[in-house]
Amino acid sequence: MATTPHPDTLLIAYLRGELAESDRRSVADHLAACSECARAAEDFQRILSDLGSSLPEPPRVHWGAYRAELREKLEARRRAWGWQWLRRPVPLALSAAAAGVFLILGVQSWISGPHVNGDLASLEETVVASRLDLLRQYAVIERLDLWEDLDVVRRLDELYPSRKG
Amino acid sequence: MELSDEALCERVASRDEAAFNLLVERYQQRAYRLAWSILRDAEEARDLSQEAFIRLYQAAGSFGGRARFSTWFYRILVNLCLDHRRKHRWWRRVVAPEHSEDEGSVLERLPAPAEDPLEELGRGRVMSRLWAAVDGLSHQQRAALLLQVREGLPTAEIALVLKCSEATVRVHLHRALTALRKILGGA
Repeated sequence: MATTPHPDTLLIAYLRGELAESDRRSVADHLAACSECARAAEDFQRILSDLGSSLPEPPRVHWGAYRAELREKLEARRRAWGWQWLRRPVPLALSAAAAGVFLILGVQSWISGPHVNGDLASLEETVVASRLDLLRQYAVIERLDLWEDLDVVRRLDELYPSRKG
Repeated sequence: MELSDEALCERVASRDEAAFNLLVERYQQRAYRLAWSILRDAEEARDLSQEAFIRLYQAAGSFGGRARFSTWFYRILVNLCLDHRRKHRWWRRVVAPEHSEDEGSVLERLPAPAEDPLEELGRGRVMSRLWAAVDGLSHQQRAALLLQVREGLPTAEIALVLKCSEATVRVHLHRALTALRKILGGA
């Protein structure tokens, strides 16, 4: 009858030769004196051996297809990582700062008057430029009552075809 | 001269595609088989083993070389598989309350009989019962046992893979084998 406690959790390490010398000797002494543990050790050894010799095989895989699929998945993940980069703290802060700067500049340009007047002036110039032909005929126009002879104004070019072009 | 797994992993960290492909070729079978042993589902094993390679690619820079590459990689893979099993436990109970996908075919997947067909058939049945019993173990016990039996990892490395102490691994293995022994009528 063994006097030492049953070395339950050391049994497998003992069977696999993983124990330090002092532990190994202690377990060996116990097994020599305890038939219960000796039987358990024997059964464990048999079960481990059976498991090792009967490893079930998974369904077969075509490894070329497996690697091709893996490459596709990796590519898809890389694209996702690219977008995730924008959501990291530093890029996010930089984007927010840039957006803030644009917002401030936009508000400033909207508030400041000269830019607005300048834009209106250039719009007026554009409109006037599109009416240059009309202005060239000003000598005729000033003799007309515009409100009554709109048809004449519209057909000024026909009145002075030689000056066209 | 052939580069070690650890050296290849360092190259993967600097986005060396050839090194990554080489590591995949070296580990694809082991990764798939181990994942299948834990999950017992071919599609899931294929998917999660590929996911483990993607994680490897992503995290290669964090491999410090303190452990062996295989231990580090198995840790990624086994954690993925155990997480997956935990998340889908309720679903398995609903869809297949008693049997996992491949459980019924364990006998068919055992190595072919050698000499005496009757003796081998009897042995095949015992092995079938044994592996069915392995399927019934807790996730941690099953993972510890498979890492030992299939991959031949020592207790210290199993502890690294499962992120627990060696003492805990010994407890897992002892409980697993005690349960198997009981099921097989040894105790």
